[in-house]
Amino acid sequence: MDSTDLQIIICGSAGDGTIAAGDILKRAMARAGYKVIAFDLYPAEIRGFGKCVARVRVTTEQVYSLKRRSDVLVSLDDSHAIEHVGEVRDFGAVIFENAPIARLREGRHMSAHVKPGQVPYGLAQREVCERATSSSRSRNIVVLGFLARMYGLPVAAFHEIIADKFKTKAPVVGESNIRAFDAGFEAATAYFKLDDVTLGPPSHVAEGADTVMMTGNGAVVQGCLDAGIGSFFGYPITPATTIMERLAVEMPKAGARLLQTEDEISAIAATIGAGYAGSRAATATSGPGLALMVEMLGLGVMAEVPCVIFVSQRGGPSTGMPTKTEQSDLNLAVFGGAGDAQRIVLAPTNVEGCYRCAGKAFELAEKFQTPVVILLDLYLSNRYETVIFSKDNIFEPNCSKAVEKQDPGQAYQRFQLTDDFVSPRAVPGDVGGMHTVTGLEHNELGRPSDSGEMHTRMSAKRHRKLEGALAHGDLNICKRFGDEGPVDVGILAWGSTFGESLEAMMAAQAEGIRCSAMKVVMLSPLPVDLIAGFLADCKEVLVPELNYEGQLANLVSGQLGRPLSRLSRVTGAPMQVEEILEQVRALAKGRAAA
Amino acid sequence: MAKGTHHVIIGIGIAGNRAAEILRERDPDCRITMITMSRLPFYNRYDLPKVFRGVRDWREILVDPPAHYDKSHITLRRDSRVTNVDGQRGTLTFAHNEEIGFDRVVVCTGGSGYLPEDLTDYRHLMNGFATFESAMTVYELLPEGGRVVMLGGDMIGLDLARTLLETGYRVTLVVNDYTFWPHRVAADQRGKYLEALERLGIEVHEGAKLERVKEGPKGMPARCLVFEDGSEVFGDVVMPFCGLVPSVEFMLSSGVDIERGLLVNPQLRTTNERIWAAGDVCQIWSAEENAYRFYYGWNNVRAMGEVAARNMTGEEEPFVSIGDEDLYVDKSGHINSPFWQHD
Amino acid sequence: MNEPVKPVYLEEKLEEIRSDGHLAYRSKSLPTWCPGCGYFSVSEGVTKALKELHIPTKDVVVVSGIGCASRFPFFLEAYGFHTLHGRTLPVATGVKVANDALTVVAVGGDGDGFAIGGGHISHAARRNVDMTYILMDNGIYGLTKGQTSPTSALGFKTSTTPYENRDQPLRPLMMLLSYGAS
Repeated sequence: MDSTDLQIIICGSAGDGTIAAGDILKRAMARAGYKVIAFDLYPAEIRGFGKCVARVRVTTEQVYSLKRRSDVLVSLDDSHAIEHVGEVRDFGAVIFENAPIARLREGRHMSAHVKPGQVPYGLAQREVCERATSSSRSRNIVVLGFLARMYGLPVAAFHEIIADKFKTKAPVVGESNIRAFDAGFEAATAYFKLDDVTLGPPSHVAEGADTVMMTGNGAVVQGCLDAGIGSFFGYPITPATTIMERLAVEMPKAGARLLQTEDEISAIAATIGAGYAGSRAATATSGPGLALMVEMLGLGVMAEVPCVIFVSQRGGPSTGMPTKTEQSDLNLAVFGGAGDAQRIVLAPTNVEGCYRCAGKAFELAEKFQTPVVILLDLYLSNRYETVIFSKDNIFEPNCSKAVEKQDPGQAYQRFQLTDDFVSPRAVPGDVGGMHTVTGLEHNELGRPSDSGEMHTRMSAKRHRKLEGALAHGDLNICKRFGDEGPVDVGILAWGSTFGESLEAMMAAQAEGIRCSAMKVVMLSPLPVDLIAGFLADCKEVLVPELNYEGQLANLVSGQLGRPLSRLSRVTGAPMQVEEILEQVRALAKGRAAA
Repeated sequence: MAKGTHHVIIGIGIAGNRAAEILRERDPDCRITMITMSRLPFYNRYDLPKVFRGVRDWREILVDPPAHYDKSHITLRRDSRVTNVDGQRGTLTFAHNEEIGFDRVVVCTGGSGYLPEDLTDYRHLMNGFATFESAMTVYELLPEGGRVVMLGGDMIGLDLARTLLETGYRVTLVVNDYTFWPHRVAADQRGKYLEALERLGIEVHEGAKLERVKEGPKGMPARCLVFEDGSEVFGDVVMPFCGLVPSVEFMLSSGVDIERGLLVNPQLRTTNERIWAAGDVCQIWSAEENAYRFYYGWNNVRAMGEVAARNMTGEEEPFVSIGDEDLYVDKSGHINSPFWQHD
Repeated sequence: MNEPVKPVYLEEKLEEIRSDGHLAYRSKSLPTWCPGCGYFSVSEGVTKALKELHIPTKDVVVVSGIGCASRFPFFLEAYGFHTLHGRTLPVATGVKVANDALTVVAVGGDGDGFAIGGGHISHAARRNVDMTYILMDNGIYGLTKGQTSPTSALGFKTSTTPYENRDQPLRPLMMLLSYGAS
């Protein structure tokens, strides 16, 4: 079978090198040309021997989430790994230490817990490691070598990535780890492969294209850089901090400027100031920070100033659960702020989408002269996926509507009412374009005005100009997958939950249910026509999302009036494919499950 | 039986599996742990020749599906080797450094292939056939129409030979003292049986003693056997079938009596009141013969497993063998044996 | 003995002012401040300074907060940003970071600067951003008709402190010196 779908979970204790092993594995497979999705779990405490889990899914086709069942479990520490053995499917493999140093009490060894349908491979990890490297520190690398031999993983890629990972250390460290890998590989020759886990050849990568493993936050950073970000202002907040940290290193190299401000309010204020002055400006925060920023967002909307705000959602409300994922800031992003302050809101569904939406955000902000909010979530921010970058830059460097030559004596109208409701824009430094923008309602010149007629026209302008965003080039604001035409069950989802929704749709289709899924990327303005067309095809509609109130369901049903079935989960973990699938099955049978 | 009695079964062959079935039937609440060095759940070793009939996936030869063990609340420990059993304390120890307790243990570890002393030097050039993995290895080594050279040819080997011939391979039998094991056939009685084998298509090589085994020269089959009279036999795979030796090393410090196998009374209990044994691993006291003796064959082994399990749960039944133990040539001139019968 | 006083003729004075050039920095809008307000002289000073430094109007950005001072940008012929209460300094910082060729002038009152905007002053000061911050301290919230501000005197009576202001006023110069403003 040529198509590959292999998911490996490595589980150990802090200090076993679990995350490092997962890192090498995912990078090696990406280097070899496979598509990879990976997500790691860290121990909750900073100190101690907490559990580390690295999950890596390797495929040839594009997939959108991790699988609930893994194909192989590697245990570096049975005391943690035993609780994950149920995650491995039948006829998958469980690899464990078969010569631990300490005497174990009954039931503390993996051999008692491997399920009858799974294949156990006991390996003397420590011994193999010590024979090859005189210490047991590289057990995590030994098991990678074992995996490589058992499943035909590309050895050359592993050697490259291992050498790369240790290149800042003394050469003997890298060499020792390569020896550990080779020793694990050699040890596997004595094992007869009894599981049915297979790896097919990688998919073909286009000429000149570059495959990179990135997290959602990393992709946001790359999108900003490729779109020519000029200014960034931020305040540290989990899980958005890494965006600022990476930009802090890269932006000065590109001649751009970054400043950590004293709070989120000054961050958004400076971003808007920079946007006003013509720079492509952005900030990044999470829910609590966005709550502080909404007053300024309103100013950006009223003064028609371009700026970009990246929001990585986490458990809420208030301080919430800073290290857990959630999707509960939709209301805040779409509606937050005083008055009718509509702005553009996008929510990518995978890492490649994070890259694209990040860059496009600057285009949209500039073209429609408005703040643009990009919603991620903690899971998407920290999840690794392979992204294929084409060699051409896909972003437009200048989307501003230029000011035509002014007649002398004619005052420049910053808020000129035009057919497409977007005014030609001068920025400080432009000759003859002097004007003042304000948070007060204003006339075309920008002078404060509280006339009812002016406020009506300006309100219309600020809202109607955004309709153009629905047709912005090269960006899927909304896309349907699965069965065409009338279907039994439609799934409407946003953000990273779309990944699990798509997998559930495919599973439902395999069970004979006519099913289709639609991702909503542009949340404001909402593509009501496209969504309405989708809903009309669906006998039942399910909206799964990681928030208690069903915020997308409310948004859609508020604008379209169609009753929707909701699936709300606020466990702090990504939605399970099985949970969505169960609801789809129930709806297909004609009744909504409780 | 007291609730939660922990029965441990070491070895999941036919005896061990039957014991597990009976234990679960008779005591629905007891804990049962089955231990095996194999990586696979219970499969019938008599089915291994099917590898040459197209079976490549071990799932096809499983006797019970994996779900069976969960349904019967049996803890199946695979890839686990027992290194010691302490009958006094009621504990056993694994090679992977775990210690567990038990109330009753039945040892069903059977036997491993015996290799005569003078051939041990050539172990690395020969292939066994005791597990699915070794069967698949042989299958992968044999080219189309390839030749297997069998040393000895016990009934397990001869059973395999039948299948090999039927599936287009060739077999050479090198006769020695273990030919037809466990049947005891005197050298001067062998003739008619060997003829029957030749009629099947097996090439029988008798006479000079085997001197050594070596790799075949380039361009020739992979193995070459050299005899004391200078003659040579070539083959792609060399497989010794010289009978079984009971697997009892881990029991040596347990305190029970051991001769060649574990010594048990007719109720299949060892000299330790908590330890039973069943199958090829035990020698059962026979009052008639006034000696401890082995019983072989699928029917016997299965019956032993059942008897042991019944006695572990309160009974005092003696094992009764199926009786018939003789090798014979049937009406159509084919060799046959009660040890080949199985479900 | 009286010294002779040189007579001032209105037309000549107007001619002098008009030819000076600093009026080019004034926009067509008439200020909305009350007659006699100090803001008039401040704005005069700003326009004269810009003229003497020969800074083109297109390169000037005036950032204001909320309050009477907030009207500043509208009365100057330059780019302006009338922002939110207390947020003048961070917005001005953003403008300067985006394009440091611009001359950035931030204006605000004492409420804008020391109350709601208090958190930003120390940071703008310690960053030493190249901009001019004109903080017009009249010890009161004027635009909203007179409430106590952080620099109002102890005992000051307003509509929100009818029983006298009980809080110690801030000491702006000492604060700013300690923040490292220069």
